[in-house]
Amino acid sequence: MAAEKGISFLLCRPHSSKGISPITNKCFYVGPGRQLVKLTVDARIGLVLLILSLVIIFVLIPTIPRDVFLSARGEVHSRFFPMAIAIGMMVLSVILIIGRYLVPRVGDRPVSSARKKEIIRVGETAVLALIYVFLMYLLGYLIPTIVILGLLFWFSGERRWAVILPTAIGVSLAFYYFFGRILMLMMPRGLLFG
Amino acid sequence: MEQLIQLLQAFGNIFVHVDVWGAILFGTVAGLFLGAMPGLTSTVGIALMIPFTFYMSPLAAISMVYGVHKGGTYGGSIPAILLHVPGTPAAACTQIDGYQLTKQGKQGKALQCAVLSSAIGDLCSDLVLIFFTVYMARVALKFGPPEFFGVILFALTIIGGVTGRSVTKGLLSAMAGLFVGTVGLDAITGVARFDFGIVELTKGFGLVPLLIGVFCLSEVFVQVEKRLAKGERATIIPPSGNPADNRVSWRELKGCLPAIFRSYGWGQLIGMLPGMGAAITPWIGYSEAKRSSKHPEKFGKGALEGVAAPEAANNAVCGANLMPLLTLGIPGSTDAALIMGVFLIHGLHLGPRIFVEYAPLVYGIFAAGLLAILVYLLVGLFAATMIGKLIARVSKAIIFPIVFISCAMGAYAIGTSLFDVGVMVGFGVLGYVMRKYEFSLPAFVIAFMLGYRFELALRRSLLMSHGSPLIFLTHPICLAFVLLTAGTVALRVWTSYRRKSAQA
Repeated sequence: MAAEKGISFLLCRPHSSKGISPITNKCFYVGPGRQLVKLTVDARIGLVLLILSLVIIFVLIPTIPRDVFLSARGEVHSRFFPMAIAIGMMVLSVILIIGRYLVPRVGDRPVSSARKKEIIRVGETAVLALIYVFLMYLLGYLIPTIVILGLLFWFSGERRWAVILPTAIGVSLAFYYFFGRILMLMMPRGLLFG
Repeated sequence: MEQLIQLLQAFGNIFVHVDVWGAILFGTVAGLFLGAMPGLTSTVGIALMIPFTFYMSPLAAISMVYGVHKGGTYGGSIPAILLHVPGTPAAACTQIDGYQLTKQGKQGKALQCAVLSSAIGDLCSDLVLIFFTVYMARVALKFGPPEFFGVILFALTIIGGVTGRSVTKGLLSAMAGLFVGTVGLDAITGVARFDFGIVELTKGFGLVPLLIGVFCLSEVFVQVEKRLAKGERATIIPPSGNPADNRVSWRELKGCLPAIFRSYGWGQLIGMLPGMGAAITPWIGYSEAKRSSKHPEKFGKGALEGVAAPEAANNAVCGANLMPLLTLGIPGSTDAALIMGVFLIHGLHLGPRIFVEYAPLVYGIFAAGLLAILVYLLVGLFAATMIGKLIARVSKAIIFPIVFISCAMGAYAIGTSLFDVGVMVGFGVLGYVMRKYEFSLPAFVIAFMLGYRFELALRRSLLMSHGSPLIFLTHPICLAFVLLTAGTVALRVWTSYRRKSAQA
């Protein structure tokens, strides 16, 4: 009974009678005749962070070698500080999950207002950034920079090739000159060009 | 008196070093432009410039980023007044009355009022910094590991607790920053932690790639998203033909002085506390100015005090931020954290001993701050409208991809390693996700930067007490900070509960 109550405490809040649902997409049916249950964005983030802190405690921290020194003198070993942080994160994650049940409900909106298309575009930019790093490793600085800069201009809404091409080439060369010649940095030469 | 002599010597030192005053001039003007460009704050500017400071003398490097900080904090008011778009979050309050004045054709008056108020607030704050910080440092010299543990704990709690919408998320951000800071060799035993056999990670994550990723690249991602959401271009309303509408008379300025000094007081007080940077002070200054004004009904309709108060408040934070940074090594804001990064790059450890070991450098930075105020005052008085017009014409579609390449090259430049560029991208994505879900970036970054000293203070304290945590309760200063920490959290949770109760 207590366990069931616990589950309903976490998952089963009835909807607001005003019709403003503070909750977002996914649904969990707990059982026949029970309320439709959904998790808030914050609760989902809390769940992810809770899992992450458990991974830190049970998977990552055991990878730190145990120090031989010196607990008799009051020395705490190298696992102590990360462990303390991970436990703190775990506690805060639980508060994030159940927090909205501890304070009166206000009809809080979903945190992210970004539309799907925009999120996808940001994801594309991030992937492009990683591809850029990989291409610099393979081909060196100049060619990947011109290509990526051109693509980013396009992604950002600039559609005039007469602007994109000269700007991409000019900016890439300017950076090359500044870093390679003035600051005398060894610019990436690329695995393929040695 | 001692401080005055040191300051005069510092001015002399700056004027014989072309690189230093060149750096001040460049930093302040660049900061002003970056602050004026919506989306590009002084924080982004400092983060992008950090790699280049590696090639400069410590005084030139720190003066340049300090100039960016000051110029950028003022610069945000230009688009707020002219375009109704705040260049920085701190300028969001200025736009309320500033843009109303622009709509009446009085943008020249609003811009002059903004720069004069900023300069007065900033100057007062710098004078307090110059003449009183050394006394704070003398007190801090008496601190041992337990006291530093207490101070850092308090700072992290304040930063985590007040810089976001949610206390829990703020504290989680600080925890995440502390955890990321544990990657690499253990400070005391030298044991490798979370390096997964990757050689580059034995030193931990690089400060510069992390800063550039979290502050600059995440901003690029945000702008990519915004660009898709709304692609409108700004337009500038033409000024009125009446010359009196385009300048602030002495009488008008005198009328604003009480609001300016009151706001300066708030800026000074709040700026000295860790975490409570320039974003909230203008609002406090504005509401105080409105409360004590003879004509509160004019606020929101183009009151000059409504421009003066927030501008004085946000620039008063600039000098005040450096007080905890220089005396305790605790940054009061994200800009101060980045300035701290420049100190660390040059091997300068912040804390009370800096006044003993590097006094000429410290007073050089103070003198640079005063010169930076002069620079942005002159630029603001004579070229603010022109800067506004220029900003309105700049295409974000061109600027942000260039910022992206600057981020990549900045991260690469510090160690000529593509691994650092990858780290920068990773933290850029993390920073973007944190922004989207309203976690606190300042808390994350400042915790990362203070993590090493925090752990060291904790473990040294436990060594001193042979493992007994009671040491934190038996040292009075440490106990005071522990109680302050507990009180702050309790107060924040209680006010949040009360607010939500009232709304429900």
